[in-house]
Amino acid sequence: MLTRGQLTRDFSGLAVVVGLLLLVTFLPPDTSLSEVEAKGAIRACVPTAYPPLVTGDPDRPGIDIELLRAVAGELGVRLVIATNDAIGRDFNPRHWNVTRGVCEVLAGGVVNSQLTRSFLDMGPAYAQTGWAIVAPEPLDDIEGHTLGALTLISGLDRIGLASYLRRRNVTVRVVRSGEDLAAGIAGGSLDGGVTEALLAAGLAAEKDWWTAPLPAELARYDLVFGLWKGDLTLKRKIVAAFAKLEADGRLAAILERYGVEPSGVVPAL
Amino acid sequence: MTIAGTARKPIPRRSPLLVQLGGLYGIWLREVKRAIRDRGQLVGGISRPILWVLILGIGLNPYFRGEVYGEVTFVVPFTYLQFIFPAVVALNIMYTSVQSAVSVIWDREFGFLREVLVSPMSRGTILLGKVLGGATVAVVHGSLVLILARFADVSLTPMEVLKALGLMAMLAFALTSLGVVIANRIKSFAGFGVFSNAVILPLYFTSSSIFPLDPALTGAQTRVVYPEWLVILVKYNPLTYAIDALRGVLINYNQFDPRIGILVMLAAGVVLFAIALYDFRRV
Amino acid sequence: MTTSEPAIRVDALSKRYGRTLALDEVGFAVQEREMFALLGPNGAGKTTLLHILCTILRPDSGAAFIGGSDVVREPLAARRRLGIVFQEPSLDDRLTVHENLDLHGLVFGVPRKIRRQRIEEMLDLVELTGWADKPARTLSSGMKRRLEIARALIHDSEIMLLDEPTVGLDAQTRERIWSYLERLRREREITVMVTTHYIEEVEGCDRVCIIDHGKILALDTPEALKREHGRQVLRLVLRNESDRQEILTRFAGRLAGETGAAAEAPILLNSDDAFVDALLAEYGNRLRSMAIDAPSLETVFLSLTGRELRDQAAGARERTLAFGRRGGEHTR
Ligand SMILES: Nc1ncnc2c1ncn2[C@@H]1O[C@H](COP(=O)(O)OP(=O)(O)O)[C@@H](O)[C@H]1O
Ligand SMILES: [Mg+2]
Repeated sequence: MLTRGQLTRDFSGLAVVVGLLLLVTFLPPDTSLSEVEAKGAIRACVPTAYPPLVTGDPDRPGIDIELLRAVAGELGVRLVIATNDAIGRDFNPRHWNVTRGVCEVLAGGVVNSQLTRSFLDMGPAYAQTGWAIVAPEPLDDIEGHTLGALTLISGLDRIGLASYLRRRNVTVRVVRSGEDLAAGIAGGSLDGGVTEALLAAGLAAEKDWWTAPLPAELARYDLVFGLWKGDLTLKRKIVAAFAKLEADGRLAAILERYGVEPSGVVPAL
Repeated sequence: MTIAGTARKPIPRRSPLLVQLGGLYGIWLREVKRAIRDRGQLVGGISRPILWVLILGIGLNPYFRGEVYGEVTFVVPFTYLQFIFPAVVALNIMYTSVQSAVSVIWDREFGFLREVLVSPMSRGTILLGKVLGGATVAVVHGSLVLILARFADVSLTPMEVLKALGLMAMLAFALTSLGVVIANRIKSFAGFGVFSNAVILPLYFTSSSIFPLDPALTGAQTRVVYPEWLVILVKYNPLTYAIDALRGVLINYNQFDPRIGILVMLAAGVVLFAIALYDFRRV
Repeated sequence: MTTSEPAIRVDALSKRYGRTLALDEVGFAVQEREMFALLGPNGAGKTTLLHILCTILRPDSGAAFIGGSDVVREPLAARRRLGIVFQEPSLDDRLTVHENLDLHGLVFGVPRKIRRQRIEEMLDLVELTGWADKPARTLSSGMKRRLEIARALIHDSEIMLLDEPTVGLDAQTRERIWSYLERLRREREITVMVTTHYIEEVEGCDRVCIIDHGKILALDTPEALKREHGRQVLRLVLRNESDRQEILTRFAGRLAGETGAAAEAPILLNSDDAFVDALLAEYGNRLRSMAIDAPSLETVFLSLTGRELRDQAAGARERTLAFGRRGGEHTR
C-alpha cells in the first residue's frame, strides 16, 4: 500500500535533488560571453577570400560574413572582421596565427570534422559541403584525367581525397588558388578540378561549367563556425541566435542569395 | 473477545516461480525504498556530480581549452568538462552501488537477513533482489548526473540516453555485486569511509577517468607521457573500459573498442554475482 | 499434518560452537495447539535450539521435525509452517509498519488480496492499526515486538516460535504480549513455543521445559514441576559474620543453592514449617531479615540448578549490536 503521503514524502527528496541540479545547469560555466558583451564586439577570423562564404566584395560579402553580421546583431554587439590571408595559403593552421587573442569566431570554410573538433568547438551547421569536381564539360568518369586539386578549406579529409584520386589513376596537380584553378581549366592544362563543393559551385556558376559532388565514399561535412573550446556561454548564445535566424527565415534567405541549398540548422546542443 | 477475523484461513498454494518473483519484487522494492528515504545518500548523489563537474570541470577547463588554432598539447575532440562527464556518471554509480551493497553487512547483523532466510525465498532470489535493488538506485543516481549534461555541453539524443542507461545498468549491477563480495568478506564493519578510500577512489582514479591516455599515441609514446606503472594500472583496471564505453555513447569518443567495455561489464557482473552467491549460500 | 505427528519433535539434538556445547542431546516433542515454554538462563542454548528449528542453523547431530518435516532435509516445507519472532529485532526500521508486513507477505508468497486482508487483521490483533503508516523506527520496543508477532502470522503459520519475546520490556507490555499469545492459541488453534528467562511468565503455559547448559533439566506442566521439585526456601540475612558462618556449617545439608561470599548475601535453605519455627526460636534475635519463598517455578529452578534465574549482564555481542543500533543508523 503506497499512500499518497508516503509517496510524496519518498519522492520529495529526489525532486529537490533534481531541482537543484537543474538550477546548477543555469550557472554560466565560463566568461566568454561576458567578455564579448563587455567589449561590445565579436571578432571573427576569416580568410581574405573564399567564395561564396567570404568574397571580399562589399556588396556581396559572402554567406559567412552575412551570417556573422546577423549573429552579432542578435547578440547586440558589433562585428569585427579580422581577415587572415594565411588561411588558404598554408595547410598548417598553426602558421595562421589564429589565437584567442585575435578573434572569438573562426569562419569562412570551417567544417565539422574529427580534425576540426580536435582543436575547436563549433556552432550549429548551416550548410553541407564535401569534395566536388568541376569541369567545362560533364565527365562520366574521372579515370585517367588530369585534375587540379584546390584544398583551401581546412578540415576536409585531404588524405581520403588523395587516395581516392590515386585509385582512380587521376593525375593530380595541386593549385594554390581559385584563379589558378580556373585559369588551368580554361587554358586546357587541366581537364577539370577537385575542390570544396561550394567553391566548385561558385566557379561553375561563374564560368557556366559543370560540377558534381564526388562519390559518397568521401564523407560530406557540415559547415560551421569554429569557436574556442571551453567558450560555452558564447556558444550557447550563438546557437540560440542561429535558431532564431532559421525560424524567421533570414538564414534561408542568405543561403539562397548565394545559390546554396539550406541544410537546416543541425542543433549542436 | 472472540473475533472471527483472527481464525486461521489456509493460504492457497501458488506456483513456486510466482512466489520467487513476488519475493524478488519485495526485496527489490525494499532496497529502493530504503535508499530513497536515506537523505544522506541523496546528498552524496547530488554533491558528487556538482563538485566534480562544476568545480573540478570548470576549474580545470581553462588549462585544457584551445588558445591557438592548430596548437594543443593533446589532440582530443572534447573539452575537459565533456571528458570527465561520463566518468562522473560512473563515479556516482560506483558510490551508490557499493553503498547499497554494504548494507548487506547491516542486514546480516541486524536480523533482516534472518527474516528473509527463513522464508521460502531461495538464496539466489534474495541476493538478486538485493543486487538489482542496489543497481536500480545506482542507475538513478547516475542519471542525476545526466541532468548536468547541458551544463557540461554534452548533447544527448533520446537514443543515446537509452544506450547510456543500458551501460549504466550493467556497470551498476557489476559494481553492486562487487560490493556484496567485499562486504561478505568483512567481519567487522568500520564504516563506509574505508570502502570509499580503499575500493572506490583507487578504482576510479586509475580508470582513465580524469585524464585520457591519448589513443593517438602508441603504447611506447604513452609511456613517455605517463610513467609506465600508471599506464599499466589504467590498462588493467576493468573500470577503464566501462567508462570508455560510456564515453563512447555520451560524447562519441572511444579510446578502445566500445564492445570491450560491454564485454568487461557483462563478464564482471556474471562472475562477481556468482562469487557473491557462492559466499551467500554459506551464510 | 497427521494427528499422530507432534507439531515439533526434537531428537537427541546436539550443537557445538568451538569448545561450548550449546545443545547436548536435547529431545522432546511439542503437541499441536500446545503452549510450550523453554525456560533457561542466558546462554542455556534456547536461541541455538530455535535457530535449528527454523533451519538457519544446522545441528551437529540428532534431528528435528516441524510437523513431520525434517528441518535439515526439507527446510522449505518446515519453514512454511513456522512463524518466527527472533530474539533480536529484525524489522526494517526505514519501512513503515505496513510496508514491513507487506514485504513479509510478498516474501512468503501470500497473494495480494489475502495479504491486504491479513495485514489489516493482524494490525488489529496487536492493536497497531493507527500506526500502519508510521516508520518502524518510531515504534517503542514493545510495539516493535507486537509488530513482529503480527508479521509472523501474515503467512498463516501453524507453529509460532518466539525467542524471548518479552525481554527488556516493562511488566505491562509483557503481560499484553502474553495475552496476545494466549488469544492466538485459542482462536487460531496454533502451536506456540516460546523461550524466556522470566520465570513468572511461564505459569500459564501448558508445559515448561527447563534447560541449562544445553541440557534439559525437567519438562512437565508447571503444577507437576512445582509438586516435584518445588520446595519452600528460606532466605536469611544475619547481623554478624560469626552467626552466618555457624548457620552455614550447621545446616550445610539444607543449603538450597550457592551462597555469595559477601556478608549481605542471603543464605538459602530448604525448609518446612517445623524448621522455620525451630530456627526462629534459636536465631530470631540475630536475624537482619528473613523471607520464605513458597514452592514456585523459581524454587524449582533453584533446586534444579543450584542457581537463581536472574537477568544477567548483556554479553559483548549484545552490547556491540546495541551500539550499532544507536550509532550505526546513518551508515545503514
Ligand atoms: N555464534 C556463536 N558462536 C559461538 N558461541 C555461541 C554462538 N552462539 C551461541 N553461542 C554460545 O552457545 C551457548 C548457547 O547460546 P544461546 O543459544 O544463544 O543461549 P540462550 O539463547 O539460551 O541465551 C552460549 O554459551 C553462547 O555463548
Ligand atoms: Mg537467546
